[in-house]
Amino acid sequence: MSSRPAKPSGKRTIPTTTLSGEVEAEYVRTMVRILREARLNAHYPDGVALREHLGCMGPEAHQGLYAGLEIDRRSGLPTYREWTRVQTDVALADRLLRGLGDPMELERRAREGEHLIFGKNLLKHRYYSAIRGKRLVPLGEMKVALRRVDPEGHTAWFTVVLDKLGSSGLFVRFTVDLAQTDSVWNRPLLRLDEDAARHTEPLRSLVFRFASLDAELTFLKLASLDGIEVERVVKGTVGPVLFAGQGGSGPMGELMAEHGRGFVAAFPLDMAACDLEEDRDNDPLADLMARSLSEEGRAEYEQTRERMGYRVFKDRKFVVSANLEEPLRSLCDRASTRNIIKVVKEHDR
Amino acid sequence: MAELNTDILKAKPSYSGEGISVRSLEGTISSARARQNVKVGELSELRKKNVELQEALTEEVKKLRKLSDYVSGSGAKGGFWSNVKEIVSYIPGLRRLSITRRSIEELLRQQYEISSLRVKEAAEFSDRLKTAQAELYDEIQRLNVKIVEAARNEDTAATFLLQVQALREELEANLEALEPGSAESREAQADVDRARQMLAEHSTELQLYHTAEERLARLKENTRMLAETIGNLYSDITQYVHAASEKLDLVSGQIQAIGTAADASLVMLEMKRSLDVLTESMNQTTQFVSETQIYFRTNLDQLIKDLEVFDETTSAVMEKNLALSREIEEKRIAAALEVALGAKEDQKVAQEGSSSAPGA
Repeated sequence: MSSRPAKPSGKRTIPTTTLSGEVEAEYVRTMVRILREARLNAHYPDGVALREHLGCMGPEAHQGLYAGLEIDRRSGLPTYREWTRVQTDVALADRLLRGLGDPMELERRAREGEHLIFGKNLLKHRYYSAIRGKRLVPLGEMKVALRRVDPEGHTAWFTVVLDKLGSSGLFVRFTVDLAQTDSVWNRPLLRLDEDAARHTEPLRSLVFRFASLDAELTFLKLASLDGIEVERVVKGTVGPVLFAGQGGSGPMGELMAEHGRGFVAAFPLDMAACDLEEDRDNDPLADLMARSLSEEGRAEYEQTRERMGYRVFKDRKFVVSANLEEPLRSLCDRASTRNIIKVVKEHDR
Repeated sequence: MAELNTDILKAKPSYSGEGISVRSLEGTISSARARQNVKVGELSELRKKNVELQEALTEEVKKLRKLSDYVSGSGAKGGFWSNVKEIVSYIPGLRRLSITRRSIEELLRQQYEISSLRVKEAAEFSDRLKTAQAELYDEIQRLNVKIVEAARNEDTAATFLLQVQALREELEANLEALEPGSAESREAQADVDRARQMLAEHSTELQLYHTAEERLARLKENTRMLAETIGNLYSDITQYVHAASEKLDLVSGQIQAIGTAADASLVMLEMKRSLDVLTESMNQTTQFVSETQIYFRTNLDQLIKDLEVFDETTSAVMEKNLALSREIEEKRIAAALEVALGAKEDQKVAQEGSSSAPGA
């Protein structure tokens, strides 16, 4: 029982590792613990759904029906295939359970029968019973809520939430507060039906497209659309999670390489909003956009910011194994940030 | 005159099992047939499921082929984007979608998730076939136990009948040599009657065990053919499902990689690759489902017809057995009456003889 890197397929693909047996079980347990400790608020993907979705992936749930669990080495999270597998299994669970029949009879057959399929059917019954009705994290879903309406000004205020497993292998939640003014010359991106606010496909496409950008760039892109006034864009990200031996670049990768065991999980929060008093960067691993621009570019950038009236805030919380707490605090100190660092002790896992 | 050993007339052949009668044999066959009917019913359900799968898969393959054709440009007339927009209208929830690189990624994801669901359904279908096959093999085992038991009991009955028949012939030969009406003659006659009675009883048993063996063997043959055909189907579907799953694994990696591709031409290339792999995966599953459909159409219907013929033949044989059994029973009763009447006559003669004797 071990982890093994994926064979190169010759086609463009992502780097993966497949975990099996006790390593796989331990990974799932640790991830669930990490997510519990992270206490993700409403700006992040649903933490409970993430935990339940992940819980369905371990051998304790699938009873050995699957050979292992494929991990995206870039994010340290299961690959798109694995999230989809659970989504499919949960969707079919009720129907498949009905087809499998009485569990007592399955148990009797598994015990007395000579055929392996009877044993497999019993395991399937246990698996589908364990996962049915589980709350799963959406792999790509947009929801819109109406906050208020000004009929005289033809303006409505909405909150748009997009949850997505991004191309980087990380889960992201974009929360966008915006106002839309309806007029004869613009095409509305949001619609108000009798009892619900709905997004249009062009808006869905736009936000889906921006999901790989940070909050500030998304703010700027959306604010450039006709009839839209953006108040706030928040991007909460789950991951990356780095484990020993996984590799990885940047300060987190160096931290892992130096200490050789344990794990570090990051939960960045990135916000561009009009109601922030000042820019603030509390993320030891990411700089504000302004710092990466040339003198010339920065002047133009500042003008745009002034016109749109927004400020930027970046933060990142961590969940680490006990051995990495102090090294991580040192890293944050060096970057002059004060971050929440939660520790998962060995016996807690 | 040699003393004959008549112990066999007091013996009982040792049949194994619970004994047999026309009614119990009917019960055995009808419960085996009932189990077989349940299996046939389950297969009919599988056929229905297969039709649903086939319809869904055909629809998916149609969409994928069109998408792939347009992406490669072979089906394009009004330019790539306008054609993709037309295709997108096939996917629920994606109408009026403005096409961008991200929406292509979303389109592929949606298609991948539908394909995963279809392949999973096909895999579950294969497990149901495997279960049905295992249950049929268990049924064959059960039938084999009954067939072997019936065959052994048939042998036991035949051996016993031959022994009784041989004894009867000797008893009848001896009887001719005895003085009619003498005590020895009466005793020999009683043994002959007993032998006849045993012959009648156990020839019925022989016939029933023979019928059981033959009917159950036929039933087993149908079950075996059914199990083997399902086994072949299972092997086929397992191959297809494995191949389709591998393709889907490949495409899941490609879909995630598409999001990281920087330029549009690379995205298009990745998309084309993913679509081709998805189409191939769906094709493999559809091919199986289609072949299964042909099997169901030809074999299952034929099997149901065969079983109807089996039921008709079984009914005819059972009727015959019952008639034979009744006939033998009547003979036995007639023989018993004959013996009883003969005994009464002898008693009367004896009484008349004693009243006319001097000093009576």
